[in-house]
Amino acid sequence: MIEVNGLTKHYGDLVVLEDVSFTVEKGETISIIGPSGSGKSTLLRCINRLETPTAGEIKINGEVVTEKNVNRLRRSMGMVFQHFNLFNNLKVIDNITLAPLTLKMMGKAEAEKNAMALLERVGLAEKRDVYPSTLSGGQKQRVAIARALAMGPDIMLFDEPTSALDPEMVGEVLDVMRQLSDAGMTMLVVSHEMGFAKAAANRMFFMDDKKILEEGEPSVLLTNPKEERTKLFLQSVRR
Amino acid sequence: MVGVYMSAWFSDLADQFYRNFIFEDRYRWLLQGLANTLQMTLFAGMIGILIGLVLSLIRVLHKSGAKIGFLNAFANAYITVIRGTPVMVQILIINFVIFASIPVSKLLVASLAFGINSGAYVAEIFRAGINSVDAGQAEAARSLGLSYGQSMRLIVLPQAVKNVLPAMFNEFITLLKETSIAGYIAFTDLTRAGNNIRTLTFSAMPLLLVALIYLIIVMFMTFILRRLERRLASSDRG
Repeated sequence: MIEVNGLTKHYGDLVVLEDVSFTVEKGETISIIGPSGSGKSTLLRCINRLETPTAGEIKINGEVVTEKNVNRLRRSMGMVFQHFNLFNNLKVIDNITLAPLTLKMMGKAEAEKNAMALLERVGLAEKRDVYPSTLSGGQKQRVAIARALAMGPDIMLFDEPTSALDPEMVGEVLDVMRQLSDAGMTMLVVSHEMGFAKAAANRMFFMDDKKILEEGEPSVLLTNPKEERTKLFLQSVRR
Repeated sequence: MVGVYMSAWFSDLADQFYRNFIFEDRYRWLLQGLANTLQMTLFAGMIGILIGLVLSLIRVLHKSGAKIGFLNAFANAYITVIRGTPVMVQILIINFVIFASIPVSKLLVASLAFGINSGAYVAEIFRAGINSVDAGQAEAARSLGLSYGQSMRLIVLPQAVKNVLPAMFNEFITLLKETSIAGYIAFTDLTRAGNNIRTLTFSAMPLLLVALIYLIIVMFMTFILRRLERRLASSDRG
């Protein structure tokens, strides 16, 4: 479903990703961990081309992502951001219906029905007519997930979805993500929520030094890592 | 004694009022001048918004990587020259050099001159407004498959306009007051009309009234701004 080949990203002289390759099968949930600055977010952002790769190619469902087809391919890849990025000028319901309506994928009635079903699913149906600024962080992130799902994506990219949340709100967001994963969504999740990774992820990537240093089943990688640097990292986050 | 002085003062005042505003229907001069000032400000404001929007979009597009170096250089030069020279000199050049041998209405020349001037300032206001919108807003829109233009039009610009509304209104208030120099190209705006009466009556009254009229318009615009801000703030409060 996702094929990454030789992905490299430089910012000027700074190398962020160096020759990264991996594939993700349909329905897999991949958890990505690693120290800050190891290129986790950049990797996700290269997949939907919010960042332009310096070299390498990315295939979605067999199709190479280019500047030309990226707007179409992004419809099949939802993204959830650390800082939610809900549209401040639109009510919750309009946040969700904006893209399906603008891209003429649905009529107004259908788009609203779909949006309400998604709001029910994330438990926020009663918030349909409020502006994002009145929501808590956890509510914002759940709306952001609903907004991404409204396009009917095959893939969901989560970029530190719970890092900006107060601790008591992390659970409600992880619950929604867990449901998605169980329902068979293909997911790439950059997050240090080890509990979620253990429960929901099929595979875990440990990123360091501009590449995927180690990968494996979460229960194995978390308890018995092969690489020294993975061990050190896990010790430091558990402290 | 005091009563005599008082009544003399009042009758002098009434006499002055009569000579300045009633005699020969001189109040009509002021009304015509006011109409000219308002039209000129409105047209110049519209021209300024148009120019400002185009210039700011050129600069923002250029910065986000579009290959429009030539247009961007033009926009930068425009803003530098217009903001670096006095509006008084600009209006004189536009009237006596550019339109020297072209017979067009003074209203058009003045509106164009002030619009061209205001455009440079509006461009900087818009640019600051667009930059004030968090980059994550556009990224979220792009991540859903919206084009650059769609995310700009539906998400970034509405928020930018809201952020710059106070600065834009200040620009229009400045513009209204700046148009008072239109008399220099023989366009009879409010200021010129008041001064025309003064040269006949040598009284302080016409110019004081002119000042009062400007003040009332500015206060009215400020009032409108406050109401708009309150309405637009609804998306912040919910």
